[in-house]
Amino acid sequence: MSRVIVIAAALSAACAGQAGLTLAQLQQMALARNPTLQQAQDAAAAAAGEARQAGMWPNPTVGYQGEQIRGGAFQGGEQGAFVQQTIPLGGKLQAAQAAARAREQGRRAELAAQRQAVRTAVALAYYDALAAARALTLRGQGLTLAEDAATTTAQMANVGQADQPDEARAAIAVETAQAAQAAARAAVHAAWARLAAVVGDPGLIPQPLAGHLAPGPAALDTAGYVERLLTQSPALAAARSGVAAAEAELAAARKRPIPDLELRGGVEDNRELQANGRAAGAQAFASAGVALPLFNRNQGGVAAAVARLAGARAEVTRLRLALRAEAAPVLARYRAAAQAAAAYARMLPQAERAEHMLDMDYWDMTAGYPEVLAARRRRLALQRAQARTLRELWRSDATLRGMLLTAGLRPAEDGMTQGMR
Amino acid sequence: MQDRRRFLQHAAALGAGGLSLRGQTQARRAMPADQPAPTAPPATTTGPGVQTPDLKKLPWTDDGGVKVFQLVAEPVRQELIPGKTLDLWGFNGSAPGPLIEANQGDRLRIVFDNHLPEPIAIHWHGLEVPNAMDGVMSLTQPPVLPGGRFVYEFTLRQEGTYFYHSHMAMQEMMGLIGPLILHPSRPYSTAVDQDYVIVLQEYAARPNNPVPDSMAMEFNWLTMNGKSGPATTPLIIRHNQRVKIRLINLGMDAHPIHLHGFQFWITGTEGGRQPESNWIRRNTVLVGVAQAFDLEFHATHLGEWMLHCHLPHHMMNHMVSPVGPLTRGTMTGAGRGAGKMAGMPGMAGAAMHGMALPPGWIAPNANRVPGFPQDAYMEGPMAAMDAAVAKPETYGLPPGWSGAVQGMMTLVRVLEPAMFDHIERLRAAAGGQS
Ligand SMILES: [Cu+2]
Repeated sequence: MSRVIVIAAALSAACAGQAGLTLAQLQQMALARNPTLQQAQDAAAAAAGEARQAGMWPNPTVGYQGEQIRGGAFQGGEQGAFVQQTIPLGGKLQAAQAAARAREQGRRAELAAQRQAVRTAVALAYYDALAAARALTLRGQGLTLAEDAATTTAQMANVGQADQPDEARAAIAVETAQAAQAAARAAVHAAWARLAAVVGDPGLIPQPLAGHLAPGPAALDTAGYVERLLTQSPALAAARSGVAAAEAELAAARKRPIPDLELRGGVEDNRELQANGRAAGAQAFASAGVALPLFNRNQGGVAAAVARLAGARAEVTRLRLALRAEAAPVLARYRAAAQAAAAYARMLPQAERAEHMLDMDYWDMTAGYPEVLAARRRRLALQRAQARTLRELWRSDATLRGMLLTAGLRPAEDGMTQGMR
Repeated sequence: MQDRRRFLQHAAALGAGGLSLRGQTQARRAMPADQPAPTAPPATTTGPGVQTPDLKKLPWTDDGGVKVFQLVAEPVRQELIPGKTLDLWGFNGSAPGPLIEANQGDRLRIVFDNHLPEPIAIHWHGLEVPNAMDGVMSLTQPPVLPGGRFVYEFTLRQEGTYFYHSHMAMQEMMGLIGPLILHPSRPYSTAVDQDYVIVLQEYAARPNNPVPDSMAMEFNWLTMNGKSGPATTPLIIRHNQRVKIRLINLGMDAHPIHLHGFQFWITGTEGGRQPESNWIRRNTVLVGVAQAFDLEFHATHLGEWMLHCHLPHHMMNHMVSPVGPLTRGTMTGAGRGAGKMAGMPGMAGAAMHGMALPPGWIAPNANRVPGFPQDAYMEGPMAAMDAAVAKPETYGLPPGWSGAVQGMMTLVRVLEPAMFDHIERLRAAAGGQS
């Protein structure tokens, strides 16, 4: 409970414009700590290892060789050592390495996309926390207002201008405002917990956040957004590198039937006696051969690679459509929120002017205090609605700028595409 | 006896130039019935001697024996008190319009121009004029259209307290009325030293809108000659003068006008001078809508006497409940005038004095006493604006006096000769009537 109060105080302080954690700082923290980025980095490193491995030559074989070994007086037999080496031909090794490198590229593209997703996720949590703090501040003012109204109603009752039901209504309004404030406090707590998690530090001590919801983000060019998204999306880049990897796999699969050259050679001591009665002595041997691709021409492997390539290409097409589909509602939310935010920016000064005017009137005794309270109530309601709208505007803005990548705690490997499904 | 008295009155009037009689010190004419007979020639009110506090008189020119007045109906900005100016409709720059003053038997020509954005016709309330001059649109005359002109001309057969006004109801509530006083061709049997006219009006104006609501049934601004207390200019009377106050009312309410300190005689109504046998002795007169009353009294008691409507809600400006932080007993440095009025000329001093209530003004347990607060904040120190309404006629009033004068209220100041003369000199230095 005390922690909640600390959070509330911290976030209220942030709202009051005091120095605090900036969004950029939080994003840097997340880039250093978010485990999905480590996962993505590990996957890229694994692919890099595989690429290195794919280029390795087969090891040579050395050994003893003996033939026609007979004992006794014959002393026959040929005994010696050999060296054997398989020589990959037709660029198979290079092709396999290229395929592995292409896979590594894909992993790196996924890492880039996940970095974007983490940054966006932090931004979403940050704006949530800012909005929650703002809402708590406004609910606090709402409670003060309700208490003021209750006191005023009691005063009015004292001069016959209010009745007991009016006092009951005022007391209920105080209770309602207290409940709303408690809910807002809980929302602040939840928002901070989400922020701490996506930053990757669940023990992050609640502290003030720098920044304000108002006046809202700089305007976004929504007209050309989808075209930009389709050229700049990191998820799409990752999918495209998937196509490149599949193409490399296919090339490698096609080279697989090219036979390796099997070379073997050695020297041996031939103990067999020659006509001159001497042993044949040292002699060499060698063999070379290739496998004939008669039965296994890697037909199945090629077919699989062709199918995977088609699948990868289809994934790019799917993702382009998915991005369009996903962008549409976010753009709609953004446009609506931007329009509403502009309207609130016009309305609020009017509400504040009216409230100020009535407040001045009250002190001049030309307007009653209930009118001041009503004006204050209307202004607070407007500010709450404005905070909700600005939260929506910031979130949709961050989502759009983040190229729709928002899953900051989903494993990177399938994050890009799963987010779009 | 009666003839001789009238002769003497006339002679005195000629001797005084027939002009303003303010400041004269002749012996007073007796009050009827219970007062001794006159011992000296009385003054006369035959000449144009009516005083119009806070109001101008409409000048006229002579055209071969016809008094020609130029009357214009137009939008006006009327300051009720410092800091409160309303957008009204009036005549020749003010609401109510200026006094038209003439004599019984005169022939008047009123060249009327309509500078309002809608049609109008001017009615001469109570005057016996030819039907075509009666000023009822579409019945006795065509409407005077915006930018249009209509010439009214008639001979005055009557004497007394009358008024002119738009015959359109809402226009009346926007301020379109003015006093019209006809002096008798032969002096009244009792002469007065001072003769005042006060037009009673009322407006409903929201705090931040200078345009009053002419359709309202409740009114928060009550005026005498277009001013609300404490901006109403006090009537300055020399001890023992005989005073006439003519009251004219045109609004939605009848106003019970009460004079402190004196009993007055009602000597005339909107029907003209009443025979002495009909005079009524009162200290409060209910001035009904579209009625006029002439009050006369001998200012025999020195002092600062109130003249005001006694409807409780008409004894304050912009009546509003003061409940709220102002009356919670926690405010010490701020108060009325801490708002917009703080920036008004003449208000700064009051605001700097805190406008707060003096120590001991409010009981410590006040907020636990049923009924609190009533007037503590609405009248008294927090409503005072002495400096803002200071003028020669307020000279010598006790500090804070203005906190007690609000709404349809003014002061009748009956002064020692020295004080009276001093204020007269102040007024002369200030350029005459304030
Ligand atoms: Cu009244």
